[in-house]
Amino acid sequence: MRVLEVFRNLGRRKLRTLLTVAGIAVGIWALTVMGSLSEFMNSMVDVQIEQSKGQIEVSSAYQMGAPGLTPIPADLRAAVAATEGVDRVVPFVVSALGKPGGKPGGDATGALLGYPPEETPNVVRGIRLDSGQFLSAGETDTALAGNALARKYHLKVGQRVNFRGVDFRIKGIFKPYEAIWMNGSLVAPIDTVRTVSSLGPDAGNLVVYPKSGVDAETLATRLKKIDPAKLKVSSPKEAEKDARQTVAIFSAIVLAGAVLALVVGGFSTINTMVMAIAERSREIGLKKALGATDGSVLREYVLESGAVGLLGGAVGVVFGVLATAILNGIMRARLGLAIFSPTPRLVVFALVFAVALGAVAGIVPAWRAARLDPVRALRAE
Amino acid sequence: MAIVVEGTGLQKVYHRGRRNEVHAVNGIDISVERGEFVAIMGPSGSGKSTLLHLLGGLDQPDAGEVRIDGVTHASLSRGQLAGLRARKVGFVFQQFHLIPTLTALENVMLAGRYAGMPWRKQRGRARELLEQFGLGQRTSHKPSELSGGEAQRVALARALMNSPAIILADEPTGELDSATTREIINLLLGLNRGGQSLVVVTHNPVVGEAAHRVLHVVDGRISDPPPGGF
Repeated sequence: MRVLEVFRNLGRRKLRTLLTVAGIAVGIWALTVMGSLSEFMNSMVDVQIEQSKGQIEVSSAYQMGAPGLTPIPADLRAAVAATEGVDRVVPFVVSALGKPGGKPGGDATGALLGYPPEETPNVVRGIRLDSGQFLSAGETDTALAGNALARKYHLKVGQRVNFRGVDFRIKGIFKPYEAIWMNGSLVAPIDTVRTVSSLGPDAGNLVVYPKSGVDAETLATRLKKIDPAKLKVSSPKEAEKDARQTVAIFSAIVLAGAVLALVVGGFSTINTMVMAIAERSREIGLKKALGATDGSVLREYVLESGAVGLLGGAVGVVFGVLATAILNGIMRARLGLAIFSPTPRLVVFALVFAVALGAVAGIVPAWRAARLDPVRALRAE
Repeated sequence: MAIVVEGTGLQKVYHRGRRNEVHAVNGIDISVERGEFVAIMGPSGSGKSTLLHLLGGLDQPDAGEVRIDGVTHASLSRGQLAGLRARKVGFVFQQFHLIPTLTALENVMLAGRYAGMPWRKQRGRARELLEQFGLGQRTSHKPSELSGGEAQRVALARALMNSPAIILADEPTGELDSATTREIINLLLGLNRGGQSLVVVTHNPVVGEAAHRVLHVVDGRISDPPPGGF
């Protein structure tokens, strides 16, 4: 019955309630959409961490720009390869892809990735081809296209396409992959990428694979001792920390906007509750005359503002999930990948947050209501 | 007979120390015996309602003390005093003060809720009281759908919900026509005959005539009745 009363009270001023609910709904909508993006980023980091599990990345300590553009001297590369516990060392470079026909620009998520051709099945752990075959040793003008890249430029296996002045023959197309950058990229032989990027034979970061039974962290410690001034060694744990930190910063920026919207919703709830309490002073006085304690009056109004939050939250979440579905549809068409993940935990968080926001926003007005002098309240106009 | 409500040396001052300082209640001693019907009369602004609020624990005196059923208000915390109001006092107001969003039944049940009565018991008791007051067919009506007399009967039922030691009514017929006033007075008399203690603040001489005792309040003090009435 009390719940029913709460909603009846909200129905007294329908337009005001509607506007307040809308205020919270906008904030929760933003939180759901932005949070979905953040959830996706988190899942992408998980994928990245999973795929680089047990791998150590070695780069030049002076690295500038994209990975692999700054060369690692041959003696140091040799020292890395000769370190005890190293199974194999795979160099790679990352360069700009541009558009077909050698035009600059292109998709920000895409890149030209240079790998030794025979290592292309290991570019990303668990990655599979949708069609075609991986590259083979000795090939120079073959390439593997990310799924979104292939879709975007209608690339087919066997077709030739010019990127960065090279007529690449598409030898395979990857299946859509959780890591967004992989879907927009072109994987080509490393020597070819070095040439088109005007890089020397030493250019390229190194992925170091430990021998079976060798702990990657221990091996990373060993590699760090080679030449700390010239080599940067990133152990799996450090890579994970860096990746998580990057996403955390991104998430914080993205969510800050949503939180700002929610603060506005919170103030609007405070305003609504202050108005409601001013209008219902006599009722509060009456309830106190009937024996309502400060606590019961406080609870009543906090419950009411919490209900405003719940309504706003429910509306915001529904429209938020709807928006992510629409955006994902667009993204699937463009990138071959949904980049918004409205996870159940996000939905629950958004709802709980909305109720908490409403309740917290209602505390001060409700406290004032609870402390009202019943005699004055009964005489209120 | 046992005393149900007692106030001794009661004082209440508003705007103390200011130019507009008002001694609303200025040294009143009052006691009401169980089963007694006391009317408090006096001119507007004489302190009648303030006295009623002090007796019911709705307001605190600046001096003196109030006891209901032997319990001194001053010895209670805010929460305990609220509990005392819920169980021992039934208030009736001139403007009925029914909650507009609740039905007649829910308005009556509200008093039971604050006294901690289980919901089923609240509903049963509230129905019983409304039927007793001839409102059995109006239980699901909202206050806006009730006449003044019906609304005041609902308010009276609400005051009786927890079988209070005393009913404190502040001009309960003030907004009613003469026929409805008579109806409410008869109800009050009926309750009193059943042993219900009543204190009624009123301007209405008919209520005064029906009471066992009339206290005249002038300028915050109990005084002799004026020859020509108020």
